[in-house]
Amino acid sequence: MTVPTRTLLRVFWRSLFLQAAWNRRGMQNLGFAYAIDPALAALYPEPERRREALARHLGFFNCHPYTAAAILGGTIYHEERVARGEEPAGNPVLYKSTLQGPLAAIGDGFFWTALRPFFGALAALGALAVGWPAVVITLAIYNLVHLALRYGLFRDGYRKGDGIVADVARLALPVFADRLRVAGAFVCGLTAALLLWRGALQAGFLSGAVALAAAAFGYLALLGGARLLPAAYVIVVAGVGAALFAARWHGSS
Amino acid sequence: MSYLLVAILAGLAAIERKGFLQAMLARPVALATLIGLALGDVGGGVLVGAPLELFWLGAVNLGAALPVHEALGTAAIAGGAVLAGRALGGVTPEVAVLSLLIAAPLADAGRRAERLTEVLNEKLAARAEERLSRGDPAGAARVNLLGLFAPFAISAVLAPIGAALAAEAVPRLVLGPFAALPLATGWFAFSGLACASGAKAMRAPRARVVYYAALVAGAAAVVTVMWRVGVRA
Amino acid sequence: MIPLVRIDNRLLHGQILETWAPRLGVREVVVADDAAASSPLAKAAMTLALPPDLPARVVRVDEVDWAGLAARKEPVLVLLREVASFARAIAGGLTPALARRVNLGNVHYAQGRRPVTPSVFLSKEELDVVVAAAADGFEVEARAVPSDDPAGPAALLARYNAAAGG
Repeated sequence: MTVPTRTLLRVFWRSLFLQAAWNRRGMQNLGFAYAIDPALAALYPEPERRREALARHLGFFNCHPYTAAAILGGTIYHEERVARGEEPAGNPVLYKSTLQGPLAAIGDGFFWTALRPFFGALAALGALAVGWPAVVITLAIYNLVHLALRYGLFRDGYRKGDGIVADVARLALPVFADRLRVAGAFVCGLTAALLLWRGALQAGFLSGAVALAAAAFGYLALLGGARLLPAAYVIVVAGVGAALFAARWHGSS
Repeated sequence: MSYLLVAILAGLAAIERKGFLQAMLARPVALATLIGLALGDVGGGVLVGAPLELFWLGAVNLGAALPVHEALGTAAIAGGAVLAGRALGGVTPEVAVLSLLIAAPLADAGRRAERLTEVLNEKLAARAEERLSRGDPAGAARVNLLGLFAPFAISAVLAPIGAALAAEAVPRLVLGPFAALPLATGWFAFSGLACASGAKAMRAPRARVVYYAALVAGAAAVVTVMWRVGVRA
Repeated sequence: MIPLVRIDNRLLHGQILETWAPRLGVREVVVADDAAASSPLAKAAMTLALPPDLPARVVRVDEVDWAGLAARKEPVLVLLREVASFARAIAGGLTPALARRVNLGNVHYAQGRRPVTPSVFLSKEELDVVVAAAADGFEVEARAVPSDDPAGPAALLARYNAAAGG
């Protein structure tokens, strides 16, 4: 009993909807069941066994939407063995519950707090420097990496089952994450300098200087625990106030 | 027509952000650009979207912890700025900063609404189990897709409202009571804070030093260039 | 010292590595869970997500040397899977003097549990453990990440009673 390649591709397509019905009790349970259902239909022609199989995948599941693809692939690996009678029916669920936390941590730590913000910062800098083509190019590169890894994890999970853990370890994602974050911070600093230039050209040197000061001191305030949205209102008022003050001082001197 | 476009793009972005794909298309820098494109001012969208991207760089969904709804906020701010800009000859820094101040709180409202949908979606889970018990596994699995409606609807309703508020109020303020205020400086102050917020989202031991180093070195380069250009002129 | 004991069904994951560990300046994580300690797959997976400078150990709940960890100079974060493990830890020597702060992060829905925060569902027995621990001097709170508003024992009790049950 194996799942045909066409069905695997369908499962991968459906895995892109993992969080469509995210809910408090089961979190991504509906998304996971939706994704794996075509594979279960292929493995269990008997209605009762298919019903049982889908029921076990309606239980709690939550992971990072990208790295969950590895678990989805690995779960099909285990379901094939359950269908052949080589493994107990509890194995796929045990596999999911064992890997979901660690792979969520990898996904959050690499994709959500390193790779995506890095490309976001790069797109923002590029957009300010050269306009929309930079946004298109940056997003294209991000998604090349994103989809290649997402599909690769799904395929390797399906081929190797438990062996996916060693594969993910070899990717050394936490090490890359660290470098990407440092590079991202660098891009943010450069953007602040670009704002000095932009502000000076568009609205007078003072506007550029205000942007630079906001970037330098805002960072300290945010690290100190200032809340983001209120800080935005405060800094806008402070910036306008500084400009008013400077104009007055300049006018009276 | 313009508000319909804002509604559709905001709704689709809300889906792309969580329920389907997650290819950064709902991130501020992409979404604001798309909204600018749809409303006929790509440059205006980019101008607003780039600082918003950095401002909300740390808005990420970790497990059950929800960030603010940066896509809804962006749709309202960018939509409002581009529409207000039509009456004022384009998205100027003045238009951008007022649109931001008017529509940004929607990002927080969007987060509350998302919490609500997570509770409502428990009903979908119950429905899927009920379908399964009636012997319809394929139907039970497809219940998942019903979850795409609520996020679409919430953003498709709220984003045009925020955009309309900004589009109506901003021209009145810019031409009226705020005409004498140096509002452009406010936008650059916000953009500077956005860089700081972006840097803060990069949690790495060396990130602080690198951020300040890039800022200082970049600023020194900019000042040098300005000085030399100024001297020649 | 032990700046925080966290109860989390998912054990080591993003919320902990991305928010709590940096916030608390944690230098080591101890995962105290019988099932994880006896599974090579779980152990291997657990180390995947760790940043290079943050070591983690996976041990059985009964193996935790609470006094030893509390006496360390560097902050150690201890993770437990269930409220029941917390009760076992108390029976095994955990006191408020060794680790005052206890955080309920993610406790998933199960039959008999009611929602008390968006990510925490508790049964009556579990709530009793939490309330009793608070009375003994533990600072117990429920929240997923540091930027959420914490819910103390009184709030948990009130929300449990207000929830329709499940």
